Amino acid sequence: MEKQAVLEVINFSTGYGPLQIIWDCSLTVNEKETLLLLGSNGSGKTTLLKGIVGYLPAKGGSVRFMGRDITRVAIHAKSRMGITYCSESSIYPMMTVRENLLMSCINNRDSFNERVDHVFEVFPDLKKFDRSRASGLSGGQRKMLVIGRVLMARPRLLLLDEPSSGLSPLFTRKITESLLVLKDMGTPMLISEQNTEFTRIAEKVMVLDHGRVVFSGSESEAERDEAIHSAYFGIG
Amino acid sequence: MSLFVDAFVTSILYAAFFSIAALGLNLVFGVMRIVNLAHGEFLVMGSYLAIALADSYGFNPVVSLAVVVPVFLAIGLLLYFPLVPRLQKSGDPEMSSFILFFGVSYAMEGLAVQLFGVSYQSLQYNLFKPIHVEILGYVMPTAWVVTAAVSVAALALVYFYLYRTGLGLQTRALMINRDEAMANGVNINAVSAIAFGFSIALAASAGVFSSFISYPTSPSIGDTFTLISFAIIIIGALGNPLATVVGAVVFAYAYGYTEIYAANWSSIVPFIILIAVILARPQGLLGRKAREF
Repeated sequence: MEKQAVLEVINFSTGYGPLQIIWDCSLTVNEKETLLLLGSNGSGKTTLLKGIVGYLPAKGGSVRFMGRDITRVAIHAKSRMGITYCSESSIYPMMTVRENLLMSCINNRDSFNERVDHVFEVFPDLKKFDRSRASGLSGGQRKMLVIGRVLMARPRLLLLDEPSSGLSPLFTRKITESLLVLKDMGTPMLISEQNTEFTRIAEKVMVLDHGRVVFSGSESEAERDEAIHSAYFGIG
Repeated sequence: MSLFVDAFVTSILYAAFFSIAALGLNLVFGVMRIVNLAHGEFLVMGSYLAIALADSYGFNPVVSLAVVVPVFLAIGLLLYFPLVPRLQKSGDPEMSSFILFFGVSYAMEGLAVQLFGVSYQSLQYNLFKPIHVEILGYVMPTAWVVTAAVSVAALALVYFYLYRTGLGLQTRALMINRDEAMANGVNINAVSAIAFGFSIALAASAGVFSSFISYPTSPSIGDTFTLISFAIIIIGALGNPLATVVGAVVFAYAYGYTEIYAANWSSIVPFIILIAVILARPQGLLGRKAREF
């Protein structure tokens, strides 16, 4: 049976002011599927995600969520539809860890305490900072909080921007394991990364270069592609 | 010694009043990153409404609050939508807001002249029954004590709103990380409009008591209140509403003591302190990160 498309990005272009960064990009994330967006620094990964979410205006093309055109829908309304966008700055430093978790589900606080317990089960390190300000967390702990906030939101679609940037391999593994929890819950994800560790959770891979899609295929096809393999999976 | 104590006690009351006078300005800056230069004019309008209610119905100022707060909350909500969202779409909302609210300020001052004339007006102290309140041996006028009590109550309400309600959580989220708040589903216009309404209502509430504790009401004193409020929030920390209290305490003590010991300097020394704070700690006494000037 064919999977239903959750996110469809069709010939999408965006950028900053008059400067166009993303050119005619198309991608599809189906239900229960993870698409890994690979690309070097400056390739346009973050810009593409910001364009999809609505921080940057569309210069062409469209974005559809569950079949509905959301290209010009307000960012907060997209969030209320169940679309969660996370970047490395997705925390509130001057709020406590608990308040940060609460902010992830302000529009649906059902079973808040159970969700918090679940986050602390996945990230026991966070529990001791429950009532402390997030500004006191280390870089790794902040990443845990970012992912913890995603777990709280229980999104219908997750857009995750470079979850491993600045993290040690140990922390990166911890993050991918926690994303597997989301995957097991059936959450469709679009993850931008440079780290191929994330192919563990992805069915599809797309590569961006200078704002254009230069590869799109399955995870195994990406590994077999010589250029991509040498650029991202190591020479061998 | 008695003068020293007198200044100390008076300054406490000044601090309570100045806190509430300036708080709204900081709330608006924190949430919307705009500067409402017409803040003082809203305070003056609140004062005129209280005087009108006292003259027409004999309302004492505390009773007047029941009218002033909802009226100015509504005015704030109504003004927000045509003014603020457009400002925030501009390349430099802070500078644009300076210019726009400068115009609003002068329009309001002109309106006040048309409606109320240019002469000074005040509420009568005898609107309150005399009560004997003694602080450190200094007997306080009832109007001053009520002003301070209402100010402290208003501060407590703002604290409750910001730290104990869901709306307050969203308001703080906007102050800390606007982009993230949007991604979390916060309706920026709705939350900002409410904060703007609160800000105007707070200014007008301070205005109800201003003629007791500071200056008699006239159309031209709005600028003075805007200036004092601006100094207070810069001393405390721009964008941090609760730091307003710290700024108000510093400003009030500088003002209170110079008024007792060197009255000619009372309008100068607080601003010398402001300059010193900007030079030594541009982020304000409670600010965490230096602002770019």
